[in-house]
Amino acid sequence: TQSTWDIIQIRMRQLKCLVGVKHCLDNALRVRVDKAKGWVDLTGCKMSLNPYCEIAVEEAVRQKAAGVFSSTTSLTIGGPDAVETIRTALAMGIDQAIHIVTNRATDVDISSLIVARVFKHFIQANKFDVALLGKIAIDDNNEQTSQIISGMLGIPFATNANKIAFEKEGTISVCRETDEGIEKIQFLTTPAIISCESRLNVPRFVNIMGLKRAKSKKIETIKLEDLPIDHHCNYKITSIKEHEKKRASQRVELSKIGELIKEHMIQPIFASTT
Amino acid sequence: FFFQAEDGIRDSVASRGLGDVYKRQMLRVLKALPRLGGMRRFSSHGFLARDSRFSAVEQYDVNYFKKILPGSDTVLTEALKVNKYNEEYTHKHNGLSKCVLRPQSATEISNILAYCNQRKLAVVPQGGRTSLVAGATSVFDEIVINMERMNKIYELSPYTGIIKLQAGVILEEAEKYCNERGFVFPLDLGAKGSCQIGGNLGANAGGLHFVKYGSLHGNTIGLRAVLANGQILDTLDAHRKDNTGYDLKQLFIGAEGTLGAITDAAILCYPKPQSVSLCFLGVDHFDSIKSILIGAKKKFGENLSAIEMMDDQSYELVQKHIPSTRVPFEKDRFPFYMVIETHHNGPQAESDEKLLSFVESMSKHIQNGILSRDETQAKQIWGTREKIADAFVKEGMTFKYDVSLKTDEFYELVPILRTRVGDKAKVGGYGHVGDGNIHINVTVNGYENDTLSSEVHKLLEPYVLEEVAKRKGSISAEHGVGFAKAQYLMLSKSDECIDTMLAIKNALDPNGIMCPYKVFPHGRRIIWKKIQLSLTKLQIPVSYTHLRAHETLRYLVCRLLLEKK
Repeated sequence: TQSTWDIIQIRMRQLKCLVGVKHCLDNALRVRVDKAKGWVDLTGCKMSLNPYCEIAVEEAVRQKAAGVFSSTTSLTIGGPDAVETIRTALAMGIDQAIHIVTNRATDVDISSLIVARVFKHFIQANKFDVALLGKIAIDDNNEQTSQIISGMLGIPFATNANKIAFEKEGTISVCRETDEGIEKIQFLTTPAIISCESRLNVPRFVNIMGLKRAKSKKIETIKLEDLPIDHHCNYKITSIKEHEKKRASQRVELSKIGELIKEHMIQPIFASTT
Repeated sequence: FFFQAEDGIRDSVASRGLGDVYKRQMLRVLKALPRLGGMRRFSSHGFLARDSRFSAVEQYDVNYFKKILPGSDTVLTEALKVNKYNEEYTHKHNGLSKCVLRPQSATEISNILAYCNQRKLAVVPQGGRTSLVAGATSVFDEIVINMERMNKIYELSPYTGIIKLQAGVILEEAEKYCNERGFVFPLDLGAKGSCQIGGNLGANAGGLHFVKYGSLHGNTIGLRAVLANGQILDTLDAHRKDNTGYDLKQLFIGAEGTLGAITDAAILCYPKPQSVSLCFLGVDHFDSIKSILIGAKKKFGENLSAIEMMDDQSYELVQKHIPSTRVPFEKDRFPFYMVIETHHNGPQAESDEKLLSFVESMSKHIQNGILSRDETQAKQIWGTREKIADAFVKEGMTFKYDVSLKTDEFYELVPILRTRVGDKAKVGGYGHVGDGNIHINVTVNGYENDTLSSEVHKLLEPYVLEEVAKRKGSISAEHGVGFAKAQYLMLSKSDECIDTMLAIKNALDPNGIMCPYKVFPHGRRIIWKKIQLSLTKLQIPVSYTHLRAHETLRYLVCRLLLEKK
C-alpha cells in the first residue's frame, strides 16, 4: 500500500522523456553504392526505424508503463516520408511526436552537430528530464549525437547502456558495456542523456490496435529552417565507395612466413621468425 | 523360427471362450542379425526385399564412373563420405547406398544412365535431401546421383522473366538472383536453404506463395531431362507458348525421379512488387479463418501472395524449440493463428494501409494482430510459420500427413486424431489454408520410446489416410508419394490410373532402374492390404492355436479363407 505522500512523491518525480527516432534504410537490406555517381541512391529502398532507436523507444514505453515517465515524446529529423517511421514509434506506445521536416538527406547532409543542436533546443524549451537515444545510426555510423548534446548542455551522459534503473531516491543508475566489462554509473541529477545498446531490451512487434491508436496521436511538424539554430553543415561528403574486398586467407608453411612478412610488410608478432 | 513356442501370456481379448489363446511374440530376429544383403524392415512397409533384378555395384563399375566423371570427389565410395548422402530428413528411412556420383553436366549424367541401364544398376537422382517422404535417399544399395555440383544459373531474361538454371541450384540462391534483378521466383519453401530446384520440380513443390503463383506445372517453361537409357530430352529453350506435340516436360514434374533425371530448367519469374505487407493474426475459431479467407481473396485478388494458418499446438512447439525465432505473441495465446502477406505496386505506407483496413473490416473475427514494420520482423513472422516442421521433429518422433481437403473439412481431422491418440502424442495442424492443404503432424515425446512410437503409428496409419480417402481428399498434397507413402497410392488414384502410370513408366524405363521401390505400391503389399481391409470388415475371431511354430499370421488368414471359416 502506498500512502498519499508516496503517491505525490512518485508523481512529482515522474520524468519527461525525449526519445530520438531516426528514419533510415532498413536494417536487413544491403546498401548499394552507385559506382558511377559515387553515391548511395536510396530512392525506392525500404526505409524503417533505426534498430537502436527502436530499442530506445521500447525502453521509453516500458518505463512509462512502470510509472517512471509521465510522458514520452519522440523527435525525428527527416523528409515527409519519415511519417511512416514516426507512426511505428507511436504505435509502439510513444505519446506524441515532433517531426522536423527537411528535404536534405539525413544520412549525408545533416551532421551530428545539427542534430545535437535540435535536441538541445527541445530539451531546453520543453524541459525534458531524460533523453533516450540509440547509440548509433546504421546509415551514417556517426555515434556522436548523445555525446555532443551532453557537451553542449553540460549534463551527464552514458553511452552503450545495457541496463537502466530509475531509483526511488531520484537517481538513475546505468550499466554500460565496455571492452573491459560492465561499468555501473549513477546519475545524481536530471536532465541526463542515455544512449542504448542492443542488449538493453527486445523491441515489441507493432500491434494492430496500437496502429489504430497511433492515428489519433499528435505529430507536431516544424521545418528545420524555422528553428532558431544554425542548421548549416560544416563539412561536405564528396563521395562514397564500397570498401575493397578483403584478401582471402591462405594457408602457409612455417618456412615461408619470413617471405610473406617481407612481402606484405606485416609486423611480426613473435621476435624470431625462423 | 519366427515365433517362440512358449509365450504363455493369455490373451483374454481374443479368447471368447473358444480355447486357450496365447499371445505370440514375434522374435525380432532380423533386427538382431546384421542386414542380410537382401532384406530391410520398415515400420510402415513391413519387410521389403531387395529387388533381385538389379545388379550390385562392383569395382569395375566404380572405375568406369571415375573415367567418365573427371575431377576429384566426383565418385565417392568411402563410408565416411557416403554417409552424408544416405541421411534422410526424418531419419526413419536412411539409405544404404555405397556409391555416390556427383556429375557436372547433362552429358555426364547421360553417360552414367546409359551405362547403368545396360548393367541394370538401380539409380536415385538426389538434390538437397529435404524430401519428407524418403524420396531422395536410396532404399537399398542404389547409386546416388547428387546434383549439387550442377549449380549454375545461366541467365534471366528481363523481357519474359524466364530464368534458366541447372537442377542443382539451391532455391535460396535462385531467389536471391531473381530479387537482385527485380523478379520474384515463384516458389518459396521453409527448406529453401538446402533444397534444390531439381528436387522441387521432381516433387512439384507447392510452397508458401502457391495461392498467388500456382504450381510448377504452370511456371516451368522448359526442361532438360535424361531418360533411363541415357537419351537427353531437351526442351530447355522453349517459349511461353509452344503447342507442338505432347508437353513432355509435364511428365517429369511431379514424377519424383521415376521417369528420368532433371538436369536443367527454365522457370517463369514474376516482377517483384514494390511493397510487401505482412501481418500475423490471432483467431478464436476456424469459422473466422474461413471468413477471413473469403474476405482476403475478394479484397486483394491476385495481390494476396500468402495466407497460412497454424494452431496453438504448433505455435507452442515453435516457441519451445526454436529459440532463434521470436514468436509474435509472447504471452497471449489463441486457438488459431494466421499469416497474411499482400503485394502492392506503390509505396509501403499505402500497402500497409490497405492491409490494415482489411484487418479492421474483419475485426469481429480477429482477436489480436501484428503488422510487420521491417524486414527483420517479417523474417521473424515467417520463421514462426516455416519452422513448425523443425519444431515437431525436435520434439520427438514425428508422423507427418500432408493432405488436401475441402476448406469446410480442413481442420476436422485434427480433433478426431487428438481423441484417438489421447495422451500418447501431440497433434498439430498447420498449412496453406488458401490452397486447401493441411499438414497434420503427430509427435511422440523423444526418440527413445520405440513401443510408444509404434503404438501411435499403428493408431494413425492407415486410419488417417483412409479418413482422407473417405472425404475424397488427396493423401499427399505437396510432399509427393516417394517411398513412405507408396503403398497408399491407391487410396487417391484408381486402379486404372495406376495401371496407366505403370505403362508410362515401363515405356520410359523398361528396366526400372530409376528410383525403384518408390511411388508405386509393391505387388505383395497391395494384396495384403486388400486382405487386411476386408478382414476388418469380416471381423473373424481368431484363435492362434491353429498356428504352428514356424507359421506367420498370413498362413492363418489363407488357411481360414481356404477352409471357408
